[in-house]
Amino acid sequence: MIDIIWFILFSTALFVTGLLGVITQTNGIRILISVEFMLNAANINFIAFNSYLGLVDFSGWSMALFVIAIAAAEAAIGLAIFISVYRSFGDITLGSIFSLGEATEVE
Amino acid sequence: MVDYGILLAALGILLVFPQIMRLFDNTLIHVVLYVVFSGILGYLMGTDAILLAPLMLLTTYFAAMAVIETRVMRAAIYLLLAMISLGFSYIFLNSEILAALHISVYGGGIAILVLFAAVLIDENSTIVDERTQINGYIITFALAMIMISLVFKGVPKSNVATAIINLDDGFALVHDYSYFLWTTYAHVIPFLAMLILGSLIGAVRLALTDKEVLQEEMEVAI
Repeated sequence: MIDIIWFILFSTALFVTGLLGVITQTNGIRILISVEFMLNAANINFIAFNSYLGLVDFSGWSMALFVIAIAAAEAAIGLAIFISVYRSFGDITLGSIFSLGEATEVE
Repeated sequence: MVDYGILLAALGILLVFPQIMRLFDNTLIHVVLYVVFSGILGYLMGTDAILLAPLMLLTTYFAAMAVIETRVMRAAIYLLLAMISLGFSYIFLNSEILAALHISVYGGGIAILVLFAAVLIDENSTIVDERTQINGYIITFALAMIMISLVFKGVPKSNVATAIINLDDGFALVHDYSYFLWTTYAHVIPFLAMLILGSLIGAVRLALTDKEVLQEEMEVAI
């Protein structure tokens, strides 16, 4: 069986990639994509550790299922909010939207 | 147990590879680079994990491109490819069902949703100023170093498999939480499902409603 450390390394690389996106990008959709990668990095760990238990326990798999469901809901809600913001402000660059309640819309 | 030096070298290859690929614009060079880096990573990982190395490299490359790519549409396509290759990596963990579920939910659901959002928003590129980007790289590097040192310190140097099977320390927490979630507190799950369904319906309504109507409704509510 493959050493678990390689899966931890894989998830670390994926998490760092997502983190880079969250910090450097300003586009709302791009940040959402980066968050998805960070959630998936956590998922890899859950599944990898669970696979070492064999078929006696499914704790990690059930947690991974939970994460997948929540990530799907989060993506749907996030994208709906960004589309709504785009229709109102004409832009989804998060830095330029000063306040959702103020009149800062782009003509 | 693998040496820290080898681990850091492998992590460096995974993180540097997308940046090197971006320097070249030729498909043939891309293929040659991919084969060379896969070979190096496979050599570092050993014979057991030699098949996982190309898949790891491909997934991190697609993930990095989804984050770095200036056009949102292409980023969504890279997300789709990254999710599919990530799903295949679950097969190495004997989790074929989760692999199928992952590819269908992420590749068929979320990536397509992001793709449609990119089409609807029609925003081709986002300009990020250089200063923000450099600061971001520095902060990410610092946070990554802290995280990596914590992760590798947390993994016991002895046999990891034995520690998991005996459910020591942190592994026991996940086990207990998961056990109670699916047995004693199983009735919570339908409520969570209703909550998520409600939020999804609310999101769809939010996306469809005009700004003026929303403002009027908010004024009435206040």
